[in-house]
Amino acid sequence: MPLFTVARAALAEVLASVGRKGSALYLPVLAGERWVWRRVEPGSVAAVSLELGPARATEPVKSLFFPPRGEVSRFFGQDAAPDPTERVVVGARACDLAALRNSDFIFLEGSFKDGFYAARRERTLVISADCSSPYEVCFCTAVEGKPHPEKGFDLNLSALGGGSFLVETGSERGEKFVAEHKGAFREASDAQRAEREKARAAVASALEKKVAAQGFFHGKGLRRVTRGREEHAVWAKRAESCVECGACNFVCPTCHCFYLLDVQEREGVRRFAQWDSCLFPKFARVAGGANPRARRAERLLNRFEKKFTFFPEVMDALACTGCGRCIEACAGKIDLRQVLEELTR
Amino acid sequence: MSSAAEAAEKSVRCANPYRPVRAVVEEIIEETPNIKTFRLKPDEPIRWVTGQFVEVAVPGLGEAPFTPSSNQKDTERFEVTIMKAGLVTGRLHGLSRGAELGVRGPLGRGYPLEKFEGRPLLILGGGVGFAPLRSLIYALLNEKERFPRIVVCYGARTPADLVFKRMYDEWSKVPGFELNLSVDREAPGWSGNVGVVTTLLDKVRLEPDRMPAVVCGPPIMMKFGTLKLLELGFKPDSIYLSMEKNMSCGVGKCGHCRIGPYFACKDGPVFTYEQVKPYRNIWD
Repeated sequence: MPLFTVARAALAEVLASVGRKGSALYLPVLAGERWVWRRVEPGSVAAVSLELGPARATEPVKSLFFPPRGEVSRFFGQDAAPDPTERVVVGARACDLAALRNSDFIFLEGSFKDGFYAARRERTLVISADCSSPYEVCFCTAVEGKPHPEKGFDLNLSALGGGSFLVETGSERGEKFVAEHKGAFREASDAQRAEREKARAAVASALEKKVAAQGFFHGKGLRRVTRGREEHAVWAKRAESCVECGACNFVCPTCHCFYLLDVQEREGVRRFAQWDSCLFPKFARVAGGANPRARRAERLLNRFEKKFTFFPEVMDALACTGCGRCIEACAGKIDLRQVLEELTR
Repeated sequence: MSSAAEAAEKSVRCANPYRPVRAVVEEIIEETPNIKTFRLKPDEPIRWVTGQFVEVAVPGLGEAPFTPSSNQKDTERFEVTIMKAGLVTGRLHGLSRGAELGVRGPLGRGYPLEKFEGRPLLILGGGVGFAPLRSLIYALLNEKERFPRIVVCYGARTPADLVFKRMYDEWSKVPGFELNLSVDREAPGWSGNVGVVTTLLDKVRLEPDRMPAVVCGPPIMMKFGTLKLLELGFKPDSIYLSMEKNMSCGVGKCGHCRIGPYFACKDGPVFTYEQVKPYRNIWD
């Protein structure tokens, strides 16, 4: 497989040129202490200099494909149309890509396809990046992941010393991108390949050591971990501090639940798909009043069942990527790692 | 898959599954004090089969899932029989003829008629849960020769709460069709069975070893009906349940109606008891 190198400045110029031709560019940008996804104007790409942050951004990359509130239809007449904008997302991490596989399964597979999600996926070039310094809450290595992407990207960037990236192509589209801008890319040398492997191994091994030292995971694998543990005391105990804010769902890269919200506007009724939270009390309630998950403990269990049992059943993959966003976001200080630790102790 | 089926599948996958089609309320029939049947004519025909459901929206207010109660043979219009229970159903009950609604469908999987063919069939219904069962009865009677014996046990709280009374005489004339009714409480002028609908099961001739059972009703009735059928020797994989879950998107995306590894909207709403029995809170 050919690998390339590109200088940061040269890649910034390539992206700016793509942006000038009409593609929207999305990059993680430092805002205060956090890296957040921002649409960056072509003229500003050089200024942000493709730092891309040490690991994943604060918000999940899903919000670029499945927005918090996206129009999906209109009542009668001209229907809502998918967004035609071509986009380039730079700086997604391995955990983001893993989560996109879950979202792809939900929105693209089966008898019905979500054309809005499909269009955003098809019209977006995904350029991912290796993590250089995972966060304290990161634990991808405990959930079948790695801190560097191995699939699911069009191009992947690994930072090398001296201000350049090693570039791996992961799709035809990525190959085409390199071919179209071949002036900026050079074939990578063996030494550069070795440098990437060394850096990746060092980051992964440091993360594994940190995760092991934290002592949350008992090494038995987490697929179907909730099965047979539905009555475990941890659900009620940990649900006690849940304030039902839904933050864990909204920052979770694999959470896909939404409700259809019909809004009367001057020109007619528009329909939106709006993010929903399975921790909200009425999430599973039916009009007749029955609610299979009336208790908060049931709802916390549901969240874990979905991540660790449902997705392995239906698509042979976990739906927890170890990004740790829910740990940071939880107002009730529920630590997903702690729940798993108590569950498997 | 045949090329026609492939083409149909492809057109569904390309269509927008969230788009409501305009439908006009052509007729409103008062079934009981709190249940009405609405006959709807959508601008684009919805070709559904019995047991599948549709989403019906009051524009600007919200949407709710209903299984049509009419005959699947009529592809131009369909009927939904609705109890006043929540926000959307409350508003629906206030509508008049000519009102415009939004409808989406057909959604989910219907009743597996091929599994009932040549066998005696038990239909167990409670309250407004008899709505999908009426569409099943229509479908069975469309081809009565395939379904030799149809035993219906239907119960409601009082005689006034029984739906589709106008059909009973016609059904009772069909050879091999046995209609058994029950009401929960004694009432003036009622000479039929008194007791919850499961009490009928002790009074009719059942053939549990070869008889599929189709159950639809309020959660408590579904639960005790199923337990009673199991006690009588019905097999878990021959008990068909219409699971009432919060089916919002209807196409397996929005996540509300999960039962174990299933989404009730796309994998159901009809499940066998065998399929759902390992999972929690199925009756709630």
